[in-house]
Amino acid sequence: MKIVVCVKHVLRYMAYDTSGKRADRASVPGIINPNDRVALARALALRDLVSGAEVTVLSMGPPAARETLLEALAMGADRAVLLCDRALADADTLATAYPLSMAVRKLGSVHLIICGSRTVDSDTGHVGPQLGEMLGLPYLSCVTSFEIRDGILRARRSADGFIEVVEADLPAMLSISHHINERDYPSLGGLNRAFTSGEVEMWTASDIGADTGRIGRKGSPTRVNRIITPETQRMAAIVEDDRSPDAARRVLELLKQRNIMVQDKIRSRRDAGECAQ
Amino acid sequence: MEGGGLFAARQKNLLEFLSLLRDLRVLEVSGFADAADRVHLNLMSKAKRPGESLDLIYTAKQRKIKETVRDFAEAEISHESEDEVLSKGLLQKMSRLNLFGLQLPEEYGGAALDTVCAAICVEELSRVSASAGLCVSVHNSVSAYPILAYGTEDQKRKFLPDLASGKSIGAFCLTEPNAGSDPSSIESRAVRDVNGDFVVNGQKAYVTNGGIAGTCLIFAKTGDDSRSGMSVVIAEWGAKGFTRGALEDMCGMRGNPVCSLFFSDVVIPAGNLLGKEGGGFRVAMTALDAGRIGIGAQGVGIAQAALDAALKYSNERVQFGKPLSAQQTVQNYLAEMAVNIEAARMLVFRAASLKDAGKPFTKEAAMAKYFATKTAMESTTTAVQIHGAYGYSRGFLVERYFRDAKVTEIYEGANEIQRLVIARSLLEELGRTRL
Repeated sequence: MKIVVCVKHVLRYMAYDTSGKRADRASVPGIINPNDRVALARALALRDLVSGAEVTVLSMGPPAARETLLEALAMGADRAVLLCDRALADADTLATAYPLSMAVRKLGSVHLIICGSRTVDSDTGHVGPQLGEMLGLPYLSCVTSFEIRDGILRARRSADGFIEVVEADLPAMLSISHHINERDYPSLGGLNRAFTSGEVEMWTASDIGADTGRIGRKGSPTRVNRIITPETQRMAAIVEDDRSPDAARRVLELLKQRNIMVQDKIRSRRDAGECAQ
Repeated sequence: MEGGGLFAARQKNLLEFLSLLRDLRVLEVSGFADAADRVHLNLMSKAKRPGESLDLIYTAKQRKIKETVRDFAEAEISHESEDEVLSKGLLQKMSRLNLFGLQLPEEYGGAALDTVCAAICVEELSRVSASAGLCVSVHNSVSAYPILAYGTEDQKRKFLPDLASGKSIGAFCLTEPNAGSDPSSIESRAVRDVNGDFVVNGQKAYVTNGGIAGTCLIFAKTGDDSRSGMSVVIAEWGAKGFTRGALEDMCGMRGNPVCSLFFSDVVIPAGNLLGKEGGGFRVAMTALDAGRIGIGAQGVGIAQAALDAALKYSNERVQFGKPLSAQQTVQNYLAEMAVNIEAARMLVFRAASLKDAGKPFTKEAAMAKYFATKTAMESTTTAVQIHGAYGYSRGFLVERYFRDAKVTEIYEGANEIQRLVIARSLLEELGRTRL
């Protein structure tokens, strides 16, 4: 059984460079996107149950992402492939899912593809479903646990406050929900081995036979014009007289003054925020 | 990128290193921006000969190991109470990470790390829990390492796998009620019986990991000479006549089960003699040299924790209408701590690099241990001072750091002994030099 886990190289923490506008990618080390890390741990657990199964980690990213894939090898992955090419840079989610789908095709006869449901940096949750669609595979999102029995994938997924139990034929694709909160650390011996002799295969756009019109900035219909950090302000008002019925009226008054309540209805948080500014 | 270590291997020995230094100017020194993660010291010779620079930047492997142990310690240990850090559950988690086989070869189940990486692990553990850092440092440096260095093939196969997996925790038992800095005055005795096995009688005091140790290196007199009369035998917990005292009520590092061990006619098989009979002093000194790198790393970790706490608190605490960190006096404190910590870290890495290169490192390990533990004491004292009365209360971690730091100046060779070792090495080098 061939399992592919898609992982994203994200920054360990957010820090701005000296311009104060861009993320300080030069100094802040990268890590495996936490959701993808859980996906990888689940894939490795499955592999250990199925004889002959192997896990390949796949990522698209800058050369620095190699370290992230070495960490995946340290955790126990059998093979690591990094799509790394200037031509792939500045991609939006669509132009990310497409080269990933081409890489999966090149890997050939994959039974299961797993990714985290979203990333901590851009947080779109797009790439998983796009990839499933491009490969024409059944796609199960927000999976909390899964098993494979007699070649059938059975998964529990969390949807709108319910737990759904669903089945799909293999090959299939699933994304692991961020509700799964488990910690898995690579062992120090694993890290030592991976960073000493681990091999990450570097593939270019031409290696995967990608259509140049569908990759990089050219293949990205999305344009990011501006990135802003939302600012929140706390404006606490404390009404101390808790016995008098006037207190409730005073609270109502305050809410209206701040445009949080209009005609006794609570406005959406977003509207309230805009009005408060 | 990796494999270079923190020091280029081409620095053949100390003299070469020093002569090179005369020809150096510092081009760039940066760091401290996030107080812990960045070490960037770029030294280049005046001639800018390519390949002649000293590379003191973490390699990708070293950084990843640092982050992994930091994440582990913060997620798994930081919430434990002071006395609970070495619970069975936590020891198991630590063992899954390979923390008990840091430098043991893979064939015995170890992580096969070099000494620099092992020091990074001890520093990061100690930053969160000095007790856990102590457990790991003593287990690896002065219990497992001497067996690897002096053990027979049979002994390695017998003891190292259980040590590497943490199934058996190691202890180093030299100190006695009447023998501390002067190990030659130990009174424990190991006498051969008719089968050639050893019968051990005596008491060992203040044994780190004592309450949980399964594999104990016991130093005992096998002859009358103060040095050549000392041997090491490996005692396994469970042997008849081998008992523990109550846990000691120590000032700091209360999470580590320190206690006395008692030996009353304990029979230890002849095959458990480590090294040669009468070779105990040498084993002790080799082990302690290595152990001092670990305790130096521990000092750096404790000091770093104190700085991290002091930075955060001084930035939040407002007095006289501004944060403490805006006061020049407090800034001086922070800068002093940061510089000493970085210097201590470099000393630790230098001693570790020498050990990894197979060079003598006795003097450098003593320097690292002395300076790093002194820095730990000074930094934690300053951190308490910055916190004021809060820092003196049990509710704030700096109070614990302050208590934890003190013993680092005392154990694994008191700092007075470290200075003796350093001075003797200097005088010996002078005696060997023909000018």
